Amino acid sequence: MFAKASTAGLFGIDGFSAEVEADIQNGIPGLYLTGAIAPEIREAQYRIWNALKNSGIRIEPKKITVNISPASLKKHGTHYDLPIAAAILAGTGVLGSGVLADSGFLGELGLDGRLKPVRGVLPLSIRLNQDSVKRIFVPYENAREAALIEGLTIIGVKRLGDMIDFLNSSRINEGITMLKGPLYPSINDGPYCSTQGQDVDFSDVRGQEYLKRAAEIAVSGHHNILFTGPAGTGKTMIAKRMATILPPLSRNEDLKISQIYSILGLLPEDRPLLSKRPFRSPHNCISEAAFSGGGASALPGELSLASGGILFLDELPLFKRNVLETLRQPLEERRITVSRMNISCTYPADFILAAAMNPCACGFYPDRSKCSCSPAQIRAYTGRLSKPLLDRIDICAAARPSELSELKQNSKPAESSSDIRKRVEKARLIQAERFKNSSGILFNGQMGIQEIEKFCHLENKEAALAEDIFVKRGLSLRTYHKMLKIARTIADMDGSLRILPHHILEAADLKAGSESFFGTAIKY
Amino acid sequence: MYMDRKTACYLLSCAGDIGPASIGRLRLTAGSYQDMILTDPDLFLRSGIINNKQAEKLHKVRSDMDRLLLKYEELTASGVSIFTLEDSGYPERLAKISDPPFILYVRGRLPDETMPSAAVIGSRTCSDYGISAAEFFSEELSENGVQIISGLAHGIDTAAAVGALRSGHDTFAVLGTGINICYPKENYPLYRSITGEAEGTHNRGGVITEFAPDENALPFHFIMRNRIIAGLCDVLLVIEAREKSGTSITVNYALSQGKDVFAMPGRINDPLGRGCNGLIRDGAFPLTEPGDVLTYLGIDSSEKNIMGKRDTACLSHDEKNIYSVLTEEPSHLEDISEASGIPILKLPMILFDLEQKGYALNTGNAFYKRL
Repeated sequence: MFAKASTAGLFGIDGFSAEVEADIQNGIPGLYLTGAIAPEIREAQYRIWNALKNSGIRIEPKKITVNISPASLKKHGTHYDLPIAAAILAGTGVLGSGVLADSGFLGELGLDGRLKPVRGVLPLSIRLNQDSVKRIFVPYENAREAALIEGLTIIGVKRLGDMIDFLNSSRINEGITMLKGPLYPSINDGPYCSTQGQDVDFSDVRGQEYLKRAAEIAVSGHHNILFTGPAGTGKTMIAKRMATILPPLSRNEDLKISQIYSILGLLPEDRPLLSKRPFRSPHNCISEAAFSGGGASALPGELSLASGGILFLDELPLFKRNVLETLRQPLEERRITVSRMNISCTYPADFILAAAMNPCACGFYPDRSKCSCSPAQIRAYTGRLSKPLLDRIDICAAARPSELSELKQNSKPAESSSDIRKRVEKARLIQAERFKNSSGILFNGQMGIQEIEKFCHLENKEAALAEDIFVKRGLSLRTYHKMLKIARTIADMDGSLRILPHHILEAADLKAGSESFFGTAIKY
Repeated sequence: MYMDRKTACYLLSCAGDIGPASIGRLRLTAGSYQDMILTDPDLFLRSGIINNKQAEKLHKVRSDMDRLLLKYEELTASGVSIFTLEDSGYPERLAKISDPPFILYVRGRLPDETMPSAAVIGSRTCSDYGISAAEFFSEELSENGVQIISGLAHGIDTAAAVGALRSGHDTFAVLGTGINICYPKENYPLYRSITGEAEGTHNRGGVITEFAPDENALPFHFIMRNRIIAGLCDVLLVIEAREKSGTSITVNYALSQGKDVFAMPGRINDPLGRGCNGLIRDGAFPLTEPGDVLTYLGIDSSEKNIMGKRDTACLSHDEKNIYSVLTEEPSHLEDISEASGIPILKLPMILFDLEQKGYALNTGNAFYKRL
């Protein structure tokens, strides 16, 4: 007898609809699986066999052929166990005819018939919803994740037996939970925190007001930022707190970002949504695949995990060159394409890049009483950053070298992240208004030359000043444009429609370019 | 085969590895430079005047003579003058030292024999304060008719040349490479502005070396170069030096040549001051203002001239305040704000005005120093 069960497969971050067909015929008894399946699905036959047996179900010794269509698409993942089992059960008559209609199935089976949580439930459920499935059966632990989708009935199942009971008699026992989407977790308004490590807040950082201001500008205008300065001056501390001053995630953003975390199984255990801005800080020995995405099934990497938040690269020059070069596409297009032999996926990669570096290998330049790096060594160190990468970083903020700055306890208590966030939100509102008719641009940091000319218009006096700076400081045209972009953001933070001289001058000390590291001093 | 002395010296220097001492021994045997080249080097080798390596080099030069002579013509055509020890134009000061170079390649001109000259040396990785000091002393001394000699290296050497050129007077750089090579290569613009090769400029002194035209920078070259720096000067100024450094080699050369050394005092806890302070302890003159050197050289200088003393009458109240806070070392905006009491957001405005007026310099994002 023939039966089929609906499910979905993952292709990058998107799901595709898939159908599991089971046909039971006379012949040499056995379970035959087809449909471009990965090894973990081929192994499913043993899991399913034992799970059925241990759930008290006897299957007649017949030839069972299972095909997962579309047979041309390569399928990965263990969530096919449940739909295969359901199709077999329907085909052998254990389940009544027609009970599988309008239902989707996702889940991995244990040998004892227990359902185990799987990755990617969120994007898979979204796909199933688009396929006009009415209800989906998922492992109990994944029920809340699937319940985020509007209009779906989610049936969380603990054991295979419970599902059979439910399908045959609509009986809900303690092994079943039934949820109706959309069901959002309450997002508490407490301080936003990083996904790595414990909660942090800007009020922890005393001193380094200049760096904090630079971080605020970067976040307000969505500028990429590079912190420079000796070790131990608080560069990392401040970068870590940048995610805490980003505006809260909207539901749509949250759903989008959470999908990436879902397919990697990285969603927090206690909640089905990320619900906070990501802060990712990969170590400098990271491989290209882990950074930009990869693996046989082209899974997303750190670049995508940082989407919607901050990607922090500490000790930037120590990253492998090929790793840093993969930053180019996301910094330009806000997405990354990961291509592997049979698969090419595009993932979102829309983050603010925050990087930190020492000014030289020993870290003390330009303090020559401590640093004896030769100019050639210093150039070699900073030269590891390729020019195209540096071109895509707007702000270069130099830390105050004094080591004591963080210890100054007598200074007034530092501002909290939530206070700063209020200002950031205000500045972002102005930008939203400005760019409402510009497609693809949401923030000052994303402006191209055309937009700079349109939105960073300078009056006579300011234009003359900008030109003076251009000449006096020997800027390149690119750094000049960066200066204007930053000045635009500073003016927005000021609530000023017009870019004023002090906005330009503050920006002049923040723009990033090879000449910004050491100014004229490097010549000697 | 006829060959003039200059050509012979040129070929000998192309052999490399044959220093003043070997030349002296060769001269006793061969008599003339021409004969040193034209005689079979194996003869010298057998009599123990030169070693295997030197003989090999001489063989190489002799077999490659046509090409080298062609290069020689190119060299002289490109404006390089060559002086041998016996030539009349050879610097007298240099000829007096115990091991003078037998050949000098000069692009531009040699220092004026009738004018006093001072060598300015110091660390390659010096502080901004050291740079300011080197520029200041070179500029002031140049203006008072002292020729500045330096090594065209990074740091103090560069600052000395820049300072001297700024005064509008000529300066001289002694290389540790061939005349066609500039090491470090970042100093090519400076090299060209001294030799007057840059467009729209004229000769502003000279670049001098004893090494064959295309010789690369090798560590021992700089030691040999230092003896020429010491040899060309009347007095040696050390601006900033670490305890163990190349400057001590130049100082030793100067002392053994009977020249006096001035050292700029440094802070006692500053590694860059230790070399100079050690020199002062050992008897060098402290260098505190240009007048110290001028008096020593017998040039009248009654006026007191302290580095960094500038007329601030044209500055506003805030500008004066900030100028007084700035030092020769770059300071961070936050430090300037704390010291001056002016809020950090107001600083860039005032600092840029100071920069426009030539009182301050931005040395990279958020860092400023005084001028």
